[in-house]
Amino acid sequence: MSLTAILRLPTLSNDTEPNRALKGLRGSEYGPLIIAIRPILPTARNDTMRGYLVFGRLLKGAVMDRLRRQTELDFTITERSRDLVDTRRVRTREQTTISHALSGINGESQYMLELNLPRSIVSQGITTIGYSLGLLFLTIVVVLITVHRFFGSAIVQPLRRLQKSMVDFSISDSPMTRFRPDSGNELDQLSNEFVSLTKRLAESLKQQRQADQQLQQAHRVESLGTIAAGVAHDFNNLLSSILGHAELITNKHPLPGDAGGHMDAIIEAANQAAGLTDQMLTYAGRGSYSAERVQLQDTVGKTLRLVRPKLREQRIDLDFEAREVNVLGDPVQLS
Amino acid sequence: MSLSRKMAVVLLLALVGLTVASLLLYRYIVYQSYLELEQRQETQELSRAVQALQREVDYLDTFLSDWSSWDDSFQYIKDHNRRFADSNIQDSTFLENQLNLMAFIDMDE
Repeated sequence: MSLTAILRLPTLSNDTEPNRALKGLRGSEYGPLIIAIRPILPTARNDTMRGYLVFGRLLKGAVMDRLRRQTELDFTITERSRDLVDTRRVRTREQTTISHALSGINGESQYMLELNLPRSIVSQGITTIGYSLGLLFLTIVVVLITVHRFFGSAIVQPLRRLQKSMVDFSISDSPMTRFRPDSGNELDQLSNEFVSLTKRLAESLKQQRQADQQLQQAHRVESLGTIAAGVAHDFNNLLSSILGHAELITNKHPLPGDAGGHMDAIIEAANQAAGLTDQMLTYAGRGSYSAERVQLQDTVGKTLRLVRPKLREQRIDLDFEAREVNVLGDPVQLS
Repeated sequence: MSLSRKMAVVLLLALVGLTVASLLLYRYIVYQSYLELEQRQETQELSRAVQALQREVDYLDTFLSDWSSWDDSFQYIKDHNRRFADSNIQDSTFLENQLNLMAFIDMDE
């Protein structure tokens, strides 16, 4: 058997390509073998090829150690798995194993290269991501705590102070207006307190307005009383003069015919007018009261005599039956 | 619930949301880029290993070309003289050049 047959090499006695050189990977019973085949020719290449020279180097031991040192890669050459097509990656947590089919010298792929690579990029990346995430998380936490504190000091605390001020300002002790800490959040409480306060303010304003009106009315009445007192005082002076002269006429001169009766009517009317001025003074708060026994039928009869002509003009019939009724009071006020 | 608690809940939800968003961002963008970078590096390292093997083949072929295009080798393949083998093919030749096989194939035999 020839060496080519032993090496299972492509035929070397090819007439069409006699000076062909071959090189590549080939399997052997000792392991993967790289071989190179060249035709043996004289240096001047002035003669025909007489044979071939074959060099082979096993890829194992010192050769592989040298290649690993040179490349600084951890790889081996092993027999190809049947299921390996071209390249396959198997990743674990620590390393990646890449299997790559190596083409042989005769086109067959008998061996594969197994390369073990540490997953330094991803592991460092994961470490970096972990640190970044931790830092980001811490930053977010710090920012959110800061925001929360700022929110508390800038919004919540002023709201509570405002609410407390409103509660302190409260003028009502009604349970409806009391501060209720568990009734919703600060905004709700503030809103409730504000509504309550506005209601109380509106009620207070209403009461104050009524008090002002009453005060104005009292002032008006007081002014009217002052005027009435002045008028009554002047009128009383005039009536005193009328009564005085009328009594002088009655006492010193005997009056003819019905004149005496008329004079008595004048004196009576003047006395009643004086009573009216006393009533005006009493209304103005400047009169004097006296309680005595009064026969009510006489008082009413005198008053009716005065108003009877007026009643006739108004076509009002008067039906009065005098009965004796005694009361205790001021006769002027009663008339 | 007070405003402070509401704000705390909102901020807590924001914290959870931002954390989840960050995790998703890192998982599907940053980590993915690391994986792609690692894959590129793996491809480069594989290419370096394959090229190292190819260089080894080329070095052997270059070394072979010195021997195959040599008048002494040509003479040896013609006359099979022992002097050539005794003086040039020794143990040191294999050891120093890390050779495991040296074959002279005479096509006439």
